[in-house]
Amino acid sequence: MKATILDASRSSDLRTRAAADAMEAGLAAAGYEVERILARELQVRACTGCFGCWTRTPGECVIADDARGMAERAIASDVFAVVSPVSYGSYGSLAKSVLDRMICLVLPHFTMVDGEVHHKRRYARYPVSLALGTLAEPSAEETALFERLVERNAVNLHNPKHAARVVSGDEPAAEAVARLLDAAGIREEVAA
Amino acid sequence: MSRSLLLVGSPKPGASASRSFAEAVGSRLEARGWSTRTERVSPAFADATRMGELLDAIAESDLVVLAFPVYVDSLPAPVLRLLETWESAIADGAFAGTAPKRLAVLTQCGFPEASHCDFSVAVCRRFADKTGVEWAGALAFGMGAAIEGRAPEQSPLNGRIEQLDAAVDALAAGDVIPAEATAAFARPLAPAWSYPLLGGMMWSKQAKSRGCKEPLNLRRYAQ
Repeated sequence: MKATILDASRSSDLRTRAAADAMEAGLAAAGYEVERILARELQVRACTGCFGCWTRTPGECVIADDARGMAERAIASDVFAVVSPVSYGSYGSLAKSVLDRMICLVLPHFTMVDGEVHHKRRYARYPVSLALGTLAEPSAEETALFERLVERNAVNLHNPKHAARVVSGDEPAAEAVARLLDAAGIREEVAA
Repeated sequence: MSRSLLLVGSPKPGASASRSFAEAVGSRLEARGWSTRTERVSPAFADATRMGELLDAIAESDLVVLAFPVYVDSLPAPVLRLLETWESAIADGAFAGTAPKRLAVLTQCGFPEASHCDFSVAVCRRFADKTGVEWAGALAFGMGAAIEGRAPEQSPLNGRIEQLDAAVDALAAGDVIPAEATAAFARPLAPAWSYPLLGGMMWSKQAKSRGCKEPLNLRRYAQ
């Protein structure tokens, strides 16, 4: 089983880096072959909104940079985990620059999901989505927003399961990772 | 004279729904005696000088109108980065002694339901609350492509001009965009049930115009 971690810590962000360490350790302990990608070392241009990934080079971004490889890794994984500082309840801009470039993984065509329009799935299966956010200070509002974002993303990106947690200050991330894996039902599946 | 800064958060260099939306608000602010200045967000990250100029423009304004498309349920990465940079500048004292800032948001998404924009509006509201920028409200609508490159009067939004005027009246008076205007803008421009059919036709047409010979449902990567 394969897990890909997008570590969106900036070089000086020790809190997020520690959270990514915990995510890597937790997934490895759960039996996954883990690949951890440092977002800050990727060459990723901002999405230009051209929809070329849908109508020019279907399934792949027209921009040839590291975002292509990230999309390829994500869809080939059983688990795709993002570890990122939280910006006002959203993923931070570094993580978002990579995630913006992943709409190639869904179809341009629309379907209804619980009465709301969303994009159809392109692939037969999608990874479980895990998101671990970090904050310098606790914020119930930003934590709730972050969890809501991951939930919304999971609908659009067809993740069969998803879970999100936020750690703040000096809170140890290992426990949050354990709760994430439990919430996503991952550790239960491994135990089985 | 009151000063507004229209920030276009679309990465597209030319016409975009965000630019059309921003210009519609900007022209109305000017008609009400405001000065306006329009800047794109993305180019500001080309180098430190350009970002410094953008922060100076923010510092010189009374009202910032931030217009952007929803990307993957949230703000596009460059717009998020702008907010992060703005917050850092505030913390560094870059805006000390300048007039209090207000933030209004104009956003749109490609789905028919404006509810897809709710999260992005909440993020901007949280940014305002966290940094002490005064929240001035938001307008959000679905089917954003409907106004790309067009004034609202020449687009399917032509039935909402009254609400657009009411929103700008409030902004010009130093108030928050009325909830009634926000709600009116959020009404779908087309019924949701029509999207799967009409959307499919639209994408096929776009692919054909681009000379795409591959099937649109191609699975490019191995699983």
